[in-house]
Amino acid sequence: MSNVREGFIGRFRSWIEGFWLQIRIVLALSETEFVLRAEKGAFGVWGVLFEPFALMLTLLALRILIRLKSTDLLNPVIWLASGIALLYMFRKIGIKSLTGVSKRQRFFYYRRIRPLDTLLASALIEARIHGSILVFVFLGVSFWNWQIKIDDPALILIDFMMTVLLGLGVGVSALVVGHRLPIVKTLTKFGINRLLLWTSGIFYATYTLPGPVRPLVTWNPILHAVELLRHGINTAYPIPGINLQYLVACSSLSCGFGLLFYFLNEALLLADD
Amino acid sequence: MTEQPRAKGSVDPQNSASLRDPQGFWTRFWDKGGEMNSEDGPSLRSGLQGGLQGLFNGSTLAAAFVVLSAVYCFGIGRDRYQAISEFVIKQPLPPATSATTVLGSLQSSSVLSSLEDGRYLQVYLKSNAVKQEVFPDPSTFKASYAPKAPDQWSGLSADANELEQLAFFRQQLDVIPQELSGTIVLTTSGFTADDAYQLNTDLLQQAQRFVNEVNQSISADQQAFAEDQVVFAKTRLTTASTALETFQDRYGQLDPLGEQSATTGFITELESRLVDLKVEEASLRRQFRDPNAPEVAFVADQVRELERQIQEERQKAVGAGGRDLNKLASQASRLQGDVDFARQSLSSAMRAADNSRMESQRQMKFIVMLSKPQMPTGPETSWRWKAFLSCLGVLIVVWGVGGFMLTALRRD
Repeated sequence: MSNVREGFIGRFRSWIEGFWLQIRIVLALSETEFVLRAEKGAFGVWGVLFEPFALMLTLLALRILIRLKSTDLLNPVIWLASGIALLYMFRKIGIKSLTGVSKRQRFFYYRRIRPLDTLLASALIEARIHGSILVFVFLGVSFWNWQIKIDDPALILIDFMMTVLLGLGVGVSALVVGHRLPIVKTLTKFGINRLLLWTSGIFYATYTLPGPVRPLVTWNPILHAVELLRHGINTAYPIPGINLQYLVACSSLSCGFGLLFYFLNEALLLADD
Repeated sequence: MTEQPRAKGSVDPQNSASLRDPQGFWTRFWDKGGEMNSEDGPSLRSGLQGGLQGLFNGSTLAAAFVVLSAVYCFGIGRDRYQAISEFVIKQPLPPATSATTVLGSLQSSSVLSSLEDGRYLQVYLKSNAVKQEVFPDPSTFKASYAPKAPDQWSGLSADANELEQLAFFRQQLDVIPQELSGTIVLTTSGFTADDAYQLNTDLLQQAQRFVNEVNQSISADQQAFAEDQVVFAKTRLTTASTALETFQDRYGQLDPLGEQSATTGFITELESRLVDLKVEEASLRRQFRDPNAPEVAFVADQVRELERQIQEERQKAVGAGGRDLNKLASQASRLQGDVDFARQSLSSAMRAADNSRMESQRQMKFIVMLSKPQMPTGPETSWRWKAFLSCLGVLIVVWGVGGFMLTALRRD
């Protein structure tokens, strides 16, 4: 009996240690990528944060010049920043997943490091960058208005994490399938860069669209993510045809298929030269 | 690049241990034997020091925070009950004025009106006036929401001042107008089912009273204004009529204009007769060679007399020493105009007052209950998960953003 218990404890310990090691590997790779990106940029480590921030400010300026007040339910800066941050995070994670493996071949010299670890590290660093941007924008606007309003922080957190998983799943799926069918990579890049930009609700709110037009955009899970984030800040913000279940389903399916494709074709990725 | 086999001996047991156990905390205490002897003193001290360092390690603090959050959210935290009601503020409109929608993009006026009233209610129901109405006795309010063991953090403390009481009261209710349908969702919370239900019911009564009072006060103000205008118009008509009567009594004339017209007609007749006589005189002078003939002199005398009479009548009509009909006619015309205007004003004011009365009855707003509040049958459990996930979210944000910024600062 004691031998069984000791064996169980030993297996549990080894599982915990393996899990903790995996986390440390991903964190180390994430930090490595952060350092590499900082070295490439003109502004060092801060350029990693300011580059997407500058892009967001440019779009904000254009949007605010065109129309000063998008909606009276949310501050227009927060309204726009939430859409831009989520979409660009998804784009970065998805596109980096398509190209990131081939650029990190040298890490695979170490047997313990797998391509999935580098993809997770990229997703982590992008999530931290864009999460920081969202937090800074929110804190800045709250300080400007001297009012902090978040009605449903749990929804915001879950929404953000689902978006990260969605980007990861789509990227990994496209990466693996793209190795067998290169056209898939090209189509995925086009879809992420062009099609999603105009159907993700960055420049409009879903409830302002006429009813017959909404199904043309609500197929896009990024739209659900963006609108749910806005709804989490102010629950009075209407979200017709938007629900968290659809986003969770899309994220789960994309991650599931992505991981399935990955584990069936991991050697293919490692053999890429 | 192909996969390389793992290099043997590159990971020695010491490094392996540090890889498995970065903190060294568990290694020192897990693998140690249980026996204590005198030689264990220094190792115990170093172990305690390592333990203290481990206690303030970020991972340990984070784990402790998560554990404490879970204990509070799922163990210590008091039950909360919620009562939800949904209603809409409707204003009956005549069919001709109801707006049509195009592609569903335009909201009807009734939806917009209900939304507008909902936003007013959002502010009004969270006001101190409503709090005073619902909880007239502050001690009762404090007793209902007093902290209760073991959860001493939730609730209203006994020494809370007015502002704190109002802030706490505002946290117990949520008024959310639905943009698309125009309905208003009222959600109230309480630590007991009775409190939540009673608060919801009381707030609905306050909302009903607000809508009625606003309607009635606006209607009363409009009605009072219209009636004031009627009184004013009546006074003006009376004043103008009195002035006209005084004028007529003073000059003994009922209608100067008519008299002026009659005088003018009389003078015109005289002039016409004068013309006839002059023609006859001219004819007689041609007929009789002697200008002093009796027939000619008779007609000539009539002509002179008639001319004199006409001049005299003219002088009497318009001269200042005479009847001065022009001036009197002008004055009479002005006074008659005042009377006519005052009569028309009175007619308009009375019509406006009547319309105002009908409008106030037609535009009265009603609260239509779509879903009445129900007595909660069980505590609301979603707040526990939301609070716990919020704590996790705070931790993730602190780690994600704070750690990221610290890394950037260290690398800079």
